[in-house]
Amino acid sequence: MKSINYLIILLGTLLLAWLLPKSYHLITDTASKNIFTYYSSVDKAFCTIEFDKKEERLIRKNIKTNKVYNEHEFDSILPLFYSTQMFADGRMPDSIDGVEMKPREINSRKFFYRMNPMNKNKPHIPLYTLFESMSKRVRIEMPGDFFRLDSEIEFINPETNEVNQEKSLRFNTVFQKRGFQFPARQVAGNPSTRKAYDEGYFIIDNANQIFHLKMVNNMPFLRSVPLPKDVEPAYLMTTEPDDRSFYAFVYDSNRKLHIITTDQYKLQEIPTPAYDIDKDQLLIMANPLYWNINVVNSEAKTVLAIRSDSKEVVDEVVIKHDKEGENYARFVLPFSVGFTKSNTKFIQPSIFLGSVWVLLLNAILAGGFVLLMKKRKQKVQIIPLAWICLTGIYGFIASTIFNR
Amino acid sequence: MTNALLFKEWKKTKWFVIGAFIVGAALLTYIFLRLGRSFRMVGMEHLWDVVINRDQFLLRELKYFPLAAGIAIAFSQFVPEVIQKRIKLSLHLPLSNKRVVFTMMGYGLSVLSLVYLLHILAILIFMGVHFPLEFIISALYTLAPWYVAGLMAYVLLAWICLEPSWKRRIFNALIMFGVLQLCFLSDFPGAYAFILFAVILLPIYILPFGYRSVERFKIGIQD
Repeated sequence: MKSINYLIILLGTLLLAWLLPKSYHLITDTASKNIFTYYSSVDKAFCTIEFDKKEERLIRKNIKTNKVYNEHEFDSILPLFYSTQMFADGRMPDSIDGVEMKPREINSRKFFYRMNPMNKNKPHIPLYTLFESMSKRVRIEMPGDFFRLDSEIEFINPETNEVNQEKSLRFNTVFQKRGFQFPARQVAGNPSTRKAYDEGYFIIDNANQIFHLKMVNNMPFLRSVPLPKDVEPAYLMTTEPDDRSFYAFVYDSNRKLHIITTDQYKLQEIPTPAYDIDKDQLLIMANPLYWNINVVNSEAKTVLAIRSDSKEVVDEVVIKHDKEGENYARFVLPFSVGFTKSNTKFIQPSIFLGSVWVLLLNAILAGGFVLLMKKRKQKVQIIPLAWICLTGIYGFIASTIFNR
Repeated sequence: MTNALLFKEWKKTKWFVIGAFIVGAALLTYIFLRLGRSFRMVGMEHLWDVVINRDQFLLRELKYFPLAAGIAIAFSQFVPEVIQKRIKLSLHLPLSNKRVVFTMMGYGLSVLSLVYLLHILAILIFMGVHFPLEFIISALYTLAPWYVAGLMAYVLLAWICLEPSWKRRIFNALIMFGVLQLCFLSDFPGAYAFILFAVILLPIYILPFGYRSVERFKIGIQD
């Protein structure tokens, strides 16, 4: 009897530790401010766009000089970000820093790349689409099969759900010849037909080598990417920039970011603020002169401006998030249990501890429980009492209800 | 005696069990026909593409079927016991209370599991014909919490029904609400992969709760 009671109290306590803090956050959570930050190739300083609650309007300013601009002026301060508007108005200068401003050139070297930890931490079915990279057609077309990389590469025809033995053999021969170690640790690609061109997949094999796989004229193309000795790849992210200057980002085990360039697959390090790929968000806004590397974590947004060609850092800004109001819940709730997180699609239990001061409340609640037991003429039991000391208000509510 | 008890449970629940099986079969038939139409209209390659690259789940309509089946069978089995106080008769049988309670719940869980197994078997056969093993594993990871929710709904509803005090029934219902939520935290295919084993163990954890309520009934607690 007692042991079943304890099972009910334990379950009730855990449910309260999950649902009470969740309800508190439902009522009190507010959105954190998102301040757009971009390095001005004209002012040579970071400029921001921020919503001013007092004036109820967007404030555009240079954060070094604090000079405020109107929308029209701001276009000229960030001509590369607003290049379409600047060309449309005929206001684009002929050159900036000696670089000629041609629409085509600018557009081909401008790109936005966003990496959200949720993109990495999510379940996926380990089957992949390998497009024809040298298709004679303008549009990328579906290839008619999917491949898996287990102990070998296998192409499966979706119409028959059968392995295409001939194609699989053709690719396997090349994989063996190039020294690929099965199974693959990560297969990174962008399996979308809505892109300008296809560069297939970049794969980390079981020996931490990176390989570039694509299909050219229905034949396998597999090439090993030479890695510097100190680089051990942890995660790959591919993208297709218009200027075809690089293939993919490599995040290494030392938390450094690199790109695999199209120049003989050479790796080039990209300076970033301290960046944890499993927790922080990365946004790269690139233009022909500068790359803006944004890293957003729970404390701040840090932005580096680096030169597009040399990747040398020219400026850095840290914008701390507004301090949230005091979280009084942590003085009442000893801990909270969660199952979902913003950085993962997986359901995973996690626990967050409250303030040490909550132990005082726990002791008061334990005392209250003793009085309640005496009032109910029940024998005071040690286990529920210890449980309340440990779990505070959750244990108190569960024990009061179910320990009768 | 146990066989007589099992026969009594069957008499009470047979139409609900048959109903759950028929509704489940009809739902699966509808899903398979709809997928078959998609195979013909857009082709298998497109369907594979949306599942693999756009994280779509093809059997989403099944989400609340196991829950509904669990609630229906628990309802048919335990509500008459409460309304007509028949549970008193069952507890006076020459069997231990523990045996009576667990036989009743064992019966319910067995028929419910049988309906679920036939359901899952049909899904496995259909998917095995049209999709590779990777799809089937992902589908099972996604479906498992929904079927576990059905088993838990059955056990928890039985607990609520067997509870003699209305006040405690409300608290039990709140626990049921919280526990069932654990199985519907995400629709994303495979989201439960890391904690699936723990989720599958949950019905075993809550199984003795009903017996606790019967013991409370036996010592005379009532409103």
